[in-house]
Amino acid sequence: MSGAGSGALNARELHSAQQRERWYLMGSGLPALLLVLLTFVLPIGWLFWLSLFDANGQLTIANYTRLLEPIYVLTFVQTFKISIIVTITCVLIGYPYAYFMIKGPRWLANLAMGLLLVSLWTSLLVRTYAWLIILQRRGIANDLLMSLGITDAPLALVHNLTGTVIGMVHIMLPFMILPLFAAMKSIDPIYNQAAAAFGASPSRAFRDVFLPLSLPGLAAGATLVFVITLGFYVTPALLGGGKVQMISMRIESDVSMYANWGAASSLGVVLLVATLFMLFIVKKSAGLGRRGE
Amino acid sequence: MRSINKQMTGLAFALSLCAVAQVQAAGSVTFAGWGGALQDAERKAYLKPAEAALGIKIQEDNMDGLAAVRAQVMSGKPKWDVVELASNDCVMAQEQGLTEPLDYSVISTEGVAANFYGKNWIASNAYSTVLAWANDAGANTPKDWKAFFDPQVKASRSLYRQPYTTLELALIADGVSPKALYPLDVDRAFKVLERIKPQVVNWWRSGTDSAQLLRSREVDALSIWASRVDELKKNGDDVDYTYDHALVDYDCVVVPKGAPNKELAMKLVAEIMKPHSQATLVTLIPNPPINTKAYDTGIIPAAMAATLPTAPANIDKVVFFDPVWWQANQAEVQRRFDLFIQN
Repeated sequence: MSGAGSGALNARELHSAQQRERWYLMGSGLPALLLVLLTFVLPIGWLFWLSLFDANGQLTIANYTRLLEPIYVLTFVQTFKISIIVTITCVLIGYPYAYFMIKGPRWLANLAMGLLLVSLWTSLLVRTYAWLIILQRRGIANDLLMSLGITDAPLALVHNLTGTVIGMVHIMLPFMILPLFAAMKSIDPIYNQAAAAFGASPSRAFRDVFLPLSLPGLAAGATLVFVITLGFYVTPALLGGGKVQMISMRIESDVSMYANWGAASSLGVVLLVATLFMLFIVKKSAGLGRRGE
Repeated sequence: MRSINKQMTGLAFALSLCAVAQVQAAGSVTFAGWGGALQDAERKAYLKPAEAALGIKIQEDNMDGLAAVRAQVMSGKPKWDVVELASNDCVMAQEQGLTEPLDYSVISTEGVAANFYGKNWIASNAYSTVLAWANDAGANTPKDWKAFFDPQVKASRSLYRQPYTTLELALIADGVSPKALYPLDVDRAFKVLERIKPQVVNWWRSGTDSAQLLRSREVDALSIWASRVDELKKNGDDVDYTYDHALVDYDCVVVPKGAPNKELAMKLVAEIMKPHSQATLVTLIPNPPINTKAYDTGIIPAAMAATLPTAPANIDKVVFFDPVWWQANQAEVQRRFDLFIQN
């Protein structure tokens, strides 16, 4: 009797302790939740709301119909095209780089990580201007190419898409390599040894064991690079020579030209929706969200 | 998105400064300009003398164009009393109700031509877009607009990344008389631009960038603000420029709607427009006076006056920019231009 009673009491106490803890946890998460709501959800809602009004405060869809004009369509296409090129290039350079940091000699791997971090910690503006100087007509790159006899006349390496992509890939590489490195680091080398023990060649072990296990890191890196690249402003503005226009540059131009915030807000809304849509498609088609299985 | 962030930061900053504005003592006005060498020169030529003449304190701030003024006015409590903007921004700000009418019983327009002021704005200093070139780029480098826009003259070129001024220069090169420039023949201008587009290495976006393009010899010739190339030349770079068919535009001052010290703001504008202030400015930075009486003050050396585009001797050699035409047509032409330079 007393045993059963104390058992029920215990369960009740346990239950209330659990409840308390849950409330406590929720309470401690509340400030962060409020912060996200205040600084992220509300402004985006406000942005969307603004995009529905014209300069006189009248409800309108003009801010959206304008986006069907050739210049806006071209800018959207160009923005996504650049983001895709940059993401693919980052994967092609970043994957071997991260792999090297895992498998290479320790001191070289440390050096590779150091170089990556120094680059990450250098101001974006400084790196962009550095590329401008390297790639320009009388810059180091062209001097080198010409002294090696690879080309007679200077190549147009900057003030165009080429220069923009070079600059952006450099800036985005750490965002690709760091998640990849973390994912690869967590792969136990024993898996590869097991594959070898079962007779897999090194390349087969890589393809069937290492590569699939590193995919979540690759997906995280690629998503990060793709999304950040969509919003680039400084690098395409400086290295594109005016011939490359991305959405953020269009937003700036519309903010200064039109009397209402709505004219530019609609661009932000469409970019956000298009980005979410793209990520959804990528997630569905690549099946990269299935790590938990 | 970065750009929006910038704007929002500006807004937040503006809001936080409103509180500061309220504790300022009476007898104080706030002037916001473009910063840099221009505002340094303006401090000496306009602001310090005005402080002495009016017995007030002048606070200074920097801004980067109409969007900043819009953010302040829309916040309901602007902090700035007098703001210096580009000419088309002044016209647009008036159109969009962002500025107060100027009090012309306080501000004298004597010596100021009628096309240099409007209901809510008055031009404060002129600046020219000129053709500049590197002397070491070879004998064939274009030295007038006609050659600059001639595709047979091979050179690496740069032009402003905005349709305004750029379209005008193309039309002048194609033989349109400066007096008959407006309304702009937009189609014709684009045809002229199309011819040299493959040789336009870069469409520059800021004054700093344009100077850098010439200094690094990334381009042989370009359209550039006179003050920028003048600075290079003074620093010993082997470059030169011409005022022939220079396109003269101007900065102008406005009083934002709801400015805290409106009456003093009008007095400050009056001081800025005085021949003495106008003449002093051009001795510090090559932004020539709007008030032609400045040329009678004796402050501007004769040798310098001979080179200035607003001086009586040169006024026929230059072309004047028309912000009113642009205010009406910019949105459409801008989109066409942005599309044009991307293909």
